[in-house]
Amino acid sequence: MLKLTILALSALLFMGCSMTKEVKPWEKGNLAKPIMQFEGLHPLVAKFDAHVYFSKEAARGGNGVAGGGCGCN
Amino acid sequence: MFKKTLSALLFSSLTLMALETGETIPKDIQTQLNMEEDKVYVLNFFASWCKACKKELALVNKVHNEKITNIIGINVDKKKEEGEAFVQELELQFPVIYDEEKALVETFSPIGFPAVYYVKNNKVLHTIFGAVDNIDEQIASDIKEIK
Amino acid sequence: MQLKKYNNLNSISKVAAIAIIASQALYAENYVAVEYLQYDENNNRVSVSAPTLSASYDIGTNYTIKGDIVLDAVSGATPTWQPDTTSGASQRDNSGDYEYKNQDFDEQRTAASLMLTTRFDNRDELNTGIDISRETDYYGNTVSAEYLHYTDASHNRSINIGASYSFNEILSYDYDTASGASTRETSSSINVQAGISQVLTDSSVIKAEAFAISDDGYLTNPHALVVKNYNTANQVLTNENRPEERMAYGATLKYITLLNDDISYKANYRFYTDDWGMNAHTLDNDVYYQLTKKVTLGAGLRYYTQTEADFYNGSKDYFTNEEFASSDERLSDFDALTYRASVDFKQNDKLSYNLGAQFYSQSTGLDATMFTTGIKYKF
Repeated sequence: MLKLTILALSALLFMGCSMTKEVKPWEKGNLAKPIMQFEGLHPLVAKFDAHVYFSKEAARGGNGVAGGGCGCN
Repeated sequence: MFKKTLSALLFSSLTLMALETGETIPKDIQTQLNMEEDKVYVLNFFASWCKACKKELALVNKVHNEKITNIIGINVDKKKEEGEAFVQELELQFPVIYDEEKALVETFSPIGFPAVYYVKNNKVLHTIFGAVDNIDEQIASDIKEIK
Repeated sequence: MQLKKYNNLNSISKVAAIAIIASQALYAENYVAVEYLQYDENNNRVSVSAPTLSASYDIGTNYTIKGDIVLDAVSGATPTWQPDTTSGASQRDNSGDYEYKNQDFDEQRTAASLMLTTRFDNRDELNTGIDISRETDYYGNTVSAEYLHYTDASHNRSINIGASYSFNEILSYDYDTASGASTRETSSSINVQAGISQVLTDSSVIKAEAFAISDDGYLTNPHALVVKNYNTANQVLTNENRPEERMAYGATLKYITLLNDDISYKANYRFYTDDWGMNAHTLDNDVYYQLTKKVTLGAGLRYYTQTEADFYNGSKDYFTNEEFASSDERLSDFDALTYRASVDFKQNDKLSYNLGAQFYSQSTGLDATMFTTGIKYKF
């Protein structure tokens, strides 16, 4: 499983090299828009969502390494 | 070895076309900028969507008002109106060129934003890429050195 | 001579100062924000009121410090096996029948986090953080660090690697002793993560990450009970028991793109697997529509599915003398959907408000609503 993930990640890395067109610093207006951020418009709500999912579902991880668990039962 | 590879990666794409220190600005761009002889100019590339630019521009405006050097702002917003609204909002006093066609910015090809170029007699003397704390003090001390 | 000097200066400054906007993560602004969240489950199971205060502050261009504090007031009940009092059985009497029903509880939780971002001369970033959580029956502490490195001058590709360590204290209640004595248990968790982010075009970015989480210690739900040897002379209601180790692996793939000038679409897929026999898939989608300069609408849909743990069973007549046994629904086979919508209103450059609603529904029968409202002041 881990091997597969590493393989997929490295494949993406090399695909990234060939598929993409270099975006210059002055062409990043779209990427700078608030609606174009991975963390979304409401990071505090997202953090609370993660807390709810952590206490109601078994799967965890994938939202960065920061943030603690809870004893929410 | 690692350092070498890293710097190769880092600079591989920017050395191709960028206008480097010591190089002369191409004739057609010189016409657009229309700078006086023997005077030092600071060219400041910015965009309305660039948060760091916004922080710096207030200080660059101060440099202009204190007549420390000549400033030319170059706005690279997609739409000129967006750039104009931004200039108005920040109450910038120095002349601003709206580079809608991207001719200027593509010629200089800065590796970071905001980008500052010190120019004299159409020759690039020095560059600053990315946000700098206290850019006003930085420009003032750089100008002193150049003069 | 002067020119020569400036040539040197230039080579230094090129390394020293690289694009600040080029980074996604560098959308740093000074702000103070307050968010109020109200979470309610169906059948009056759990209600949570949580006011949150957060702030972010740039110290020069090289440091950003960010913190938040949340106060949860939790009231409600958690479902578990209990003596069926209607059938005549009293508490802790193992001669009667059992029913899966809510056990009441009230709790206060205070959680705080602090994160420091340090930017280096080449604009690489180091995020170091600390998280603490305090509840009456749970103490959690986490330290984390994550390093982000740009592999190209235009900041179109970055790699990141991070790790965190958590140490938790849990108060467990021994159901078997009549006094319901509690003992202090501990657990620890190590989380490592590595990923890559790539700007594909001037309006799309993709990010892939892999993670591994190792849990160790008391991982049992202290409030959950199981029935063992049902309908035999040894019939007993007792605490559930889970393995003291859990190893999990997973990967995420995130994609964000601009559909036109005002509409963005974000997709997030996560795969999760662990050695308790659980596999899970999560697919999260968000659309944001910037209706006017002042108003932004958002809508989201999340799908989640998981398989059950090897030692899970929901019936009262299943377990006999197994070492590991749990009837906690959270370890069962289920799927869940979340629908959400939001409105953001930007009064001016400094002040903005947000409103949000979410509806969460599990195939276990659990439904929940969440309403959020917040105000943010930038300075």
